[in-house]
Amino acid sequence: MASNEKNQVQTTGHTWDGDLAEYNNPLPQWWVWVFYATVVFAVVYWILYPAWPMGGGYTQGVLDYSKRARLNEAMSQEALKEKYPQRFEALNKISKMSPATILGDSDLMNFVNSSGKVLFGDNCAPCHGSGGQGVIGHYPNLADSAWLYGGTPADIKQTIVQGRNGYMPAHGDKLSKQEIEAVAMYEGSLAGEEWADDPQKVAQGKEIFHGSQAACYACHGKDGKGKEALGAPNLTDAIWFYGGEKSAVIETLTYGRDGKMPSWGDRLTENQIKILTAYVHSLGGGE
Amino acid sequence: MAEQTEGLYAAHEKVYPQAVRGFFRRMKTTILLVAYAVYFLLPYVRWENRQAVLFDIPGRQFFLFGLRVAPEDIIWLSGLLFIAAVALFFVTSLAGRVFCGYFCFQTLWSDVFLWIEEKVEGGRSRRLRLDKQPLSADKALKKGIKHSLWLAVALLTGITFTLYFADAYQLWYQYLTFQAPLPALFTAGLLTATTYTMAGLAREQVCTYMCPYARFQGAMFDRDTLIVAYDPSRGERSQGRQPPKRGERYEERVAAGKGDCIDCGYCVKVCPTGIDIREGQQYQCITCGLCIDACDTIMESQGFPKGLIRYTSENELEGGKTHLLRPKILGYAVILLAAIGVLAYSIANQSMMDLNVAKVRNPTYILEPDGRIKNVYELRVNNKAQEVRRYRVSMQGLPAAEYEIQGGFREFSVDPGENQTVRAYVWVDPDDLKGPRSHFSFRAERIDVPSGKETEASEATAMFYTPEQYL
Repeated sequence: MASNEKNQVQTTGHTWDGDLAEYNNPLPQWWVWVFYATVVFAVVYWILYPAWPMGGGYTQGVLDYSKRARLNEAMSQEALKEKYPQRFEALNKISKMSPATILGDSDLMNFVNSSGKVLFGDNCAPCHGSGGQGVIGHYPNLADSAWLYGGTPADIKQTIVQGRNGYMPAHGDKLSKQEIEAVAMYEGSLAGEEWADDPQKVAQGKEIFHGSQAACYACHGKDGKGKEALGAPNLTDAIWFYGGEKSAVIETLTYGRDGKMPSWGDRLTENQIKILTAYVHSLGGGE
Repeated sequence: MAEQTEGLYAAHEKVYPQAVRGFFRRMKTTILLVAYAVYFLLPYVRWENRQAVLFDIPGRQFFLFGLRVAPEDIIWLSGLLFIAAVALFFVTSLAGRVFCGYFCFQTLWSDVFLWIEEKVEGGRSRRLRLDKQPLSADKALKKGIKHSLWLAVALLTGITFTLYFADAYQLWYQYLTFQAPLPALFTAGLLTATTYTMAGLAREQVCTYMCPYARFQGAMFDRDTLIVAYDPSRGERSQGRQPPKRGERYEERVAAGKGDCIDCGYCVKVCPTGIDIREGQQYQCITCGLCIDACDTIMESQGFPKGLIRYTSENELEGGKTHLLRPKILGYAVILLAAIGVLAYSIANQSMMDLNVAKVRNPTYILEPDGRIKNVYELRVNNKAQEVRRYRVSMQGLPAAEYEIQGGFREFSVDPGENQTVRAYVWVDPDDLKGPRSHFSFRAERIDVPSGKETEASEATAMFYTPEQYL
């Protein structure tokens, strides 16, 4: 072993307890240089870029680099216009058109179908569902063709801009439980529900419906088909906003209902409202 | 304890290939000139108002002369790769590593770089001497010129590569006015660096250490594969290699048992990968045939018959015959022709349009006030042609259904290479349906604008969904 000088590792020369020596394994030269290079890099970086916190602020760096400024620049209208010219062209067209005419332009509808989906997802989907299918008892279905306030582009736009207040008064204190059940029976018969199977009660309910005490006809119409101007629903179709079971109808009659569509006029731009109008119309239920 | 003084890696020995003339050198040069002409000139060829070959990445389309390749044609790429692979198997089984020797980019570019080196620094012996010299003004000048020329070729190579991805003339203008987009600069820079490194500095080391093909091409060889080989029985005979003697006739030499090889070493000097072909087959050999040219030159000058080093096969070297048409070769040929045929048929008969149907699943179905069920679909019509075309969409296969295309867009025009999406509503009375799922189809047809006649059509199946409770 001792004869093999070449394989001997050098020691630092320090000796403890007589025979305890310390190997000297220096770092490889390239490693040392890389380390020095990182030190130089760090110092150069401090000089060029924002780096050191200075109490209330920070060292700015001689390059005057700011990520926030670059983001603002990239997000400026001019930059976006350059990046997405087609989008700006479409928006420009839309700003000059009414929702009804947008619906007649197949190219713009391509744009509406994609951007409207995003707007709908951000603003409408939490209540109406991502496909506009609504939630029974809470939020109306926008994909069928039953519209409480009308389904023309102008109606839809008005609903979005101004919101809607649906109000069904409670009748629990005016009518007895029996009378309410009779009215429910009559309403069920209008829609052809299977549970409306008692002709006697149906006849009694019809009388109350058209009588002065409950005056259901005032809002829902003499034929029960509802009045769009009031947002009074059509009772003759099988579309039940609050559910079509007998118990649900009785509950509506007894306690009334209060529906509220908030106004979006202040929250969205004119173009966004137009796009959403056309998009909601195209979900399938527009008139 | 054994002393380990030898390192794990052998130091690289620089190869100084000598220039040679002959048939294979001419063939290599010809192929090189054709390949360079194609590579460097193709971006400037125009075809129908645009670049003939253009890989338009942002527009997601490739143009190859009259053909437009859209992303949905990606299957052609697999076809092309398959053909390339089989062609390589075919050629390798037939004639060994000829791809390496004549067509490989590494070979083509190293060859040009070597040619520059020779023009600047002189022939093999002068280069050897120059490298041994201490640095002088002359040496620095020569080296400087050589590396500048190398960099110039590398830069041109890198820039040319990027020209395939944008309008060549416009991109050149951008390069020359320092306005080229960053990706172009980066790509050109990267290719310049790799070309300079690989073709100028690494050269044969790419073939011997980096190229995976060098490692597995042996698997495609058999005893009938054509290889560049030295004929040891003729070169050595019983007495081995012998330098020529003045006045000795060839017949005397043969009778004395002296080999035909005069051990001049020319075949070794010309080899671009620096091997001695007389040691038998080696994986570094790229079968370029330059050693054949070298040996033939010597044989001719000696008055010996040519072909001591030649394209031959293992069978032939052992006195047999080379069988070119063997089952493996024929099998590869059949597969190759079939694949080319399928790809050609697919390209020739490509539909210029297609129709995609996606059911709107949110909501899956809609109950209408009149008791009917409505399903909504999104139809996308792709116009793959390079002109504006008009399409009509319709629905069929569901007799009791009523349908409407949103906005009444039953007919619409689509710009070249673009697509148009329309919504389709389908209503069916559940009483008219047999089950919860009914299959039907949408049809898009291209219509000739003046006549209104159908010229091409594409169909796509769809499903009408009705929940059980309404059936």
